[in-house]
Parts: sequence; C-alpha cells; structure tokens
Amino acid sequence: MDIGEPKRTYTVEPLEDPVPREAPSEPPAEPREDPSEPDEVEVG
Amino acid sequence: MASAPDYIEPTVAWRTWLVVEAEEGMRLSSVVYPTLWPPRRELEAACRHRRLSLRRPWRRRPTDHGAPEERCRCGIYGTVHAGDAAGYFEGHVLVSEPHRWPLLRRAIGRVFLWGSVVECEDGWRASLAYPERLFVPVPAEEDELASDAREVADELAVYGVEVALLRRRTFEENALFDDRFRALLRHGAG
Repeated sequence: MDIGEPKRTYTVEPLEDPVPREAPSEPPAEPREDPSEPDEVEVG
Repeated sequence: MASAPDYIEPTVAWRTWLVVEAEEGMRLSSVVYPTLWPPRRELEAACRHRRLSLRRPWRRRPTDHGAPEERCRCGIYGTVHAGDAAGYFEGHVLVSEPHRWPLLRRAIGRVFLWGSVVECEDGWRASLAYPERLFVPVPAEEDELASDAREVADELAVYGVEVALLRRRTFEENALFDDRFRALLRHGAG
C-alpha cells in the first residue's frame, strides 16, 4: 500500500478501549456446602 | 518513567480487507500479507522484513526493531482517503506470500490505529489496529436481495462492529467516498 513518505511518529493511548471485547463470562457458582451437623458432645 | 502519550483518541483510517474462509469461520485478512485479523482482539504489528546477512547472503535474519519503524515499511496500514484504500479491490495487488484461505470477497472500512503510529503523506502505519466499521460492497451486477454479500456481512458480525452493505446508492450519496471509490461498484467489487 502506497501511503507516501513518513513525516513523524507519535503515540496514542486511547482512553477507551477501541476493541469491543467479549464480556468476561461469570465464574461458575461454587457449590454450596450444607452446614455440617454439630458434633454430639457428651455432657458429664 | 513512561512518557505521556501524544494523543488519547485512536487515529481513524481507511483500509481494504480480504474476506476469507478460515478454519474458524469467515475472517478478515490483510491484502498484502496473509494475516488474519482476530475478532474482538487487536491486531499487533510485527516487522516481516528480513535483513540480508553479508557473510551468508542466502540467509535472512529478522529485523531488530519493533513495528512500525519510520525507516522501514512495516506496520499496519491505513489511508487518509477511502479512494486510496479502494484501489486494493482490484485483483492485481502484489502480495508478499500466497494466502492459504479461500477468498470470498473483499471488504472496505475504517480502522482504529493506535500504539506507535508513523504518520505518512497519505496514511499511517501503526503498531495496533482494530476495525471501526466494515462495508461489504454489493457489485452493480448483483441483485441486492439475492447477493451473498448479506451473508458475508452477517458472518462479519463476529467482529462486534457495525457491518453494512455498500450499495451503489450508498456510494453516490455519501460524501465520504470520492469518485475513485464510487467507480468501484460500476466495475464490480467482488
């Protein structure tokens, strides 16, 4: 592609992302543990 | 310490792409180099030129600079004028390497350029790029409704940017397109 001779170099850091990225998928819900039964304690 | 950037808005340019049937589906490819543009991820430039070795001239070594470099011709290209990009619709563009994916169509559009950008007389070369919007031309001899351009446009939605069919009427009404660009459809753009 012929775009002519270079004139200068500059830097660009866009404030907003120019790429429409995929929204991060939600992490799978962690399995809920049933509350454990309290240990039986012998009372003397 | 990192220096502040010169600009905080990407440069917007014109370019032409090939639409090819890649392994993962319909994709954009650069015209001159067989480079696929990944959907939803920026394309990063790399210098593909090779340095001649004086001791072993049959060997070529990779260049030792990042892309783009002012003294080289590397970087991701974009043009100021749509007509200059439209010139790459013609079939006799010199390619560096054969493309390995079947060519379906060509598309034209605007592209965001950022990172390190070399400004040239009629365009830019950049280190990072992503399509801003895409146009799939419907050649004059094709029936708009029957054309597979619509299917191509639908498939290119994978890039997550606006994709439009470019009809002859659109060309003639849109001031963005110069005479050379309008001439595209008169000669076919498939």
